[in-house]
Amino acid sequence: MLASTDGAWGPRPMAAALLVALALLGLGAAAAGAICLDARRMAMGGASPPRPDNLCADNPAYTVVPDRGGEGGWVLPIPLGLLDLAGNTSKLDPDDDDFDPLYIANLLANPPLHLELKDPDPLDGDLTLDLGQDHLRLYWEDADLLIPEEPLDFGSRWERLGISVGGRFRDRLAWRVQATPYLDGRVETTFDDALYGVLAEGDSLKPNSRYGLDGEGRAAVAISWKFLLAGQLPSARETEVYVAAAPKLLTAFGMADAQVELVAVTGDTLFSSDSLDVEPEVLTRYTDGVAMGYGFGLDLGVAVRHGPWDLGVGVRDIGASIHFSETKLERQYLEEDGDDGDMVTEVLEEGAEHDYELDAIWTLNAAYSSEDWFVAGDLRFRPWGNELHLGGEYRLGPWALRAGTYRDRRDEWQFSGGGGYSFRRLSVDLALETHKRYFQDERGLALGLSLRLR
Amino acid sequence: MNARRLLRLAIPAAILLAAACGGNRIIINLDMDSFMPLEDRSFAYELPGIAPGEFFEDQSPIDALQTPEGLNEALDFESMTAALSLALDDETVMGSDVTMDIRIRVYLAADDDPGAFWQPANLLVELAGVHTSGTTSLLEDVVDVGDFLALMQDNEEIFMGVWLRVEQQSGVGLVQGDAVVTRLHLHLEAREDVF
Repeated sequence: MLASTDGAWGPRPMAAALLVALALLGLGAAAAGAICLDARRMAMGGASPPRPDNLCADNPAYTVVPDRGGEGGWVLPIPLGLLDLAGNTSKLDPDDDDFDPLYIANLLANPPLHLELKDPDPLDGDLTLDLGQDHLRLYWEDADLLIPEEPLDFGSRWERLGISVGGRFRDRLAWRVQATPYLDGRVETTFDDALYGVLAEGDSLKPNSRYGLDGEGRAAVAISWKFLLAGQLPSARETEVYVAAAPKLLTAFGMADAQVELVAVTGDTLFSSDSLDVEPEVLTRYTDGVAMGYGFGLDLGVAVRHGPWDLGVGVRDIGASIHFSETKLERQYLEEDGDDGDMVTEVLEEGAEHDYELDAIWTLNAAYSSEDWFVAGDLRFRPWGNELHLGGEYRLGPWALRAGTYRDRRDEWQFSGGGGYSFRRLSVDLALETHKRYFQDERGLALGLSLRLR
Repeated sequence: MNARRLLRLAIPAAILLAAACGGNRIIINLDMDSFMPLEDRSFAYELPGIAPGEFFEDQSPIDALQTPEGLNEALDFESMTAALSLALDDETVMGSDVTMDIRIRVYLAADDDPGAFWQPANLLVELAGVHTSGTTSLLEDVVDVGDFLALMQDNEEIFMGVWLRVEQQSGVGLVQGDAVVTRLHLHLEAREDVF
């Protein structure tokens, strides 16, 4: 067991860099994934029509489910947000008086693909510091917009934009070999009530009190090599049943997992040499540099079509995990006897084997399609929280009127609506959607526009 | 890790966070009397009360006050006010009513050299009032002390002291009592000076 005093906060640079890079990538991917570029789907609460492009990542059976009439085509999103951003770059320029780091952070959390019709709170509230012998209060008027009262838990499992080759046996069976970037990331943070009160509600720091914060972040990056086999089962004439199985090999390049516990206990007075006992502890397991790991997983899916109805159940990453043969486990804590408060790094394990577990993700979907109506819904069970999308469309000649709702990552309802007009081979779709993708806990309003070419 | 070290990290971090958003005022309320021991801000005055013009005069020890480290570098102070309250309560009164002039001064300086400390240039705030024997009195006021912004901006450790004078104006009689500074607050408004 080795211990060193490095005076620096945080895991080793490699693990820190990996975590930060993956967190940023994950955040961007999660944000991009949460944004619906198809204005038709956007107007219907993000609900997925039962066709391959939206659902086959979550339910491989949709690889072979045929399009219903009018559902197919290429979607061409018009990035109104980028056009708006191009005309307003002063907030991105550090040399400009309008430079706004929060604006940039929000661009990452909410990529500027749609036109935002409502700006979030600029967080320009006063910051008040009250200092006395036995009280300390640091209150920022806008803190409650940034600091979550409920435990924060978000994640992403990105497995899209791969390359594949495939074919069909007769008409009922399809195969596909697919290589896809695979990124798993999750961040959880919990403030206890006392610390939340101090940080977000302007409570005074009190003598003889305990304040705590727990957090965990983990990430792994890999390539998924998937062999997909899907086909239609023989069934009754009006009922079509499609099934698929996709075993996959995961070739990973690295992982990091950090658990943070921060406890602060105040003494009898706030301003004396032993007034505050701070006990941070960070446990970090990571691969030192690029270290290959290998794992297996299985995706399964069933899709049923009966008349105007579609039903589907898909499961991703059944029994999945990635085995790393060499990882390092470190513990970092504050030096007990040092007045300088140096962090000590203690290596607990070196060259240790580790299994990076991947929980299964379930997706249920249903849809009803008729000549005039289309109604769809999907429910995704994810380790970091469930998502529900519901929406519908009413068609009247070339016109379509749409509405929908969805339950977002913050477990709040969001609403959407819009319309479309179809020419012979081209549809123009417009959508309005509320969302909470900003760092501020505020509802935004986005306008999306896309074209569909058939 | 002591509180000062935590403040060194936490306060500039909070200010940076707020400043990153732009347009924020940073308001600092320093409860200075809480850092002074009660005995340093209490005066037991006594006037024999034989004739007008007799007076009691005393001054507190010079106390040091350290502002959170890193605060000055991160901020550009724009304004400062001081709120001062003095409570007088007579314990012993003999003879006829005695009327007294009360004068209290608070001094603030970057140096605690006693020879230079109690000079007019270091006078932060002064309150004056009238007190009648056998009653309780409260003198209080809030005054602009913007002249001391540079002192706050340039020093992480400042020194403060209180001076009191009780002077008999009329009446004859013995008066003994306590004068206590019940509030000495500084209110500063600043903008971030990081970006």
